[in-house]
Amino acid sequence: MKTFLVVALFCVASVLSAADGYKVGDVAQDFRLKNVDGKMVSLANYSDAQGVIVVFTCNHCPYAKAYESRIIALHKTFAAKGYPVVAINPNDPVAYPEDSFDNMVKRAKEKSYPFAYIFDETQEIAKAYGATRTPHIFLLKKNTNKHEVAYIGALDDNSESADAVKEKYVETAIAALIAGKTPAVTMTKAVGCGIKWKK
Amino acid sequence: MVQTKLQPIRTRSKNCFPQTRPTAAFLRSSAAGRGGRVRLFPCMQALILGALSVYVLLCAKPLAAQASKRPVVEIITFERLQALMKPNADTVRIINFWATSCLPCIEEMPAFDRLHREYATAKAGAKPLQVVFVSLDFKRDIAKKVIPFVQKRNLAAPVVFFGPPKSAEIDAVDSSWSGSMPATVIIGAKFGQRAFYEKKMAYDELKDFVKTYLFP
Repeated sequence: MKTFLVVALFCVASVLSAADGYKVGDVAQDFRLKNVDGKMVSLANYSDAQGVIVVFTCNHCPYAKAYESRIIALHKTFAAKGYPVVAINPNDPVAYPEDSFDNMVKRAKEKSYPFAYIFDETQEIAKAYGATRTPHIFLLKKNTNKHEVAYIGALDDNSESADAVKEKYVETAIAALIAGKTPAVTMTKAVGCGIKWKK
Repeated sequence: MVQTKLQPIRTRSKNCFPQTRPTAAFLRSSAAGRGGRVRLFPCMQALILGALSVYVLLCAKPLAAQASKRPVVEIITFERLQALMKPNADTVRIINFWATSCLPCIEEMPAFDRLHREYATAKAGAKPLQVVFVSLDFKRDIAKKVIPFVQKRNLAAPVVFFGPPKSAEIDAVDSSWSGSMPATVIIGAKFGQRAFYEKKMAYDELKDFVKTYLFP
């Protein structure tokens, strides 16, 4: 009975924490995940940067693909300003074979990704962060040795067409951080492909 | 079938000049206009007639097909989407957000469609139930992906197109919606009867829930 209660409580707690994920201001957990170049990547690798733009993304999703070139451009502009992109694929490749590690390597090569593209094979990081879809962005700001969540949501307000964008949420938030201010918009929503969780 | 299509061309080219109907605009502007002047060369007239009938046959067919069918996928505004999500005294409505790229969405579609077929007409003591599939695909994919998908599936429930919603629109659908698909809103006939699911639904689960709204 006791064990049952403990297990039940644990289940409830884990479901709750998975559903919640991070809010703006929370300290983001570090990770150690395999990059497409075979090396392991952690937030600790970016100790010289001001922060990190964590992008949960994948190969198969049309909404993620629509943002691909914009994410590359984002990294090219902001890595030099202290905000590099780290792309994380959290999908179960059993559900979407296109999202396998081998296909990540292929995609990164084809499109010459200038940033790390790492595989969250256990899906623990996506769960801890509260990522639900691809693409889903978590802008982290370094505070001494910790990374705090400064913005969660979409890159901008138009997934279909970069030309029709009116609000560049992430760029605006980074500009505020660089200026030593709190971003005005810290949370946005956008449709994406639901992350395919392992069964 | 070929003859009925050819006949109107013959009558028109006999009259040759009183071409006032807009559908005959191309006759006026091209071959038929010259028809009067080349009367001396019947073989040429025959050639022009032949070319015209080919043109009409090729172009008239898809036009006729378009006219006879209602649109496969209606494009809706946000106002219309909001109207669909308002409580309606006579109907329980299930709004399902999906995209052609979303596998779990496609997998759950038959469950929604089955429910729609079963309850679309009111049973004794029940309110009618309507399912509406709302596509959030990209606009550029309507003709290429959405319409062919819908035509192939032969769904009983209507499919409308909204496209990727803005942040505020996602919030307006449901404040708890993160933006992932599939997502489903169920609106009961009574004020306050509303449920939201951001997950793949099974038929039994859906039916059990909907029953409480259908048989209050």
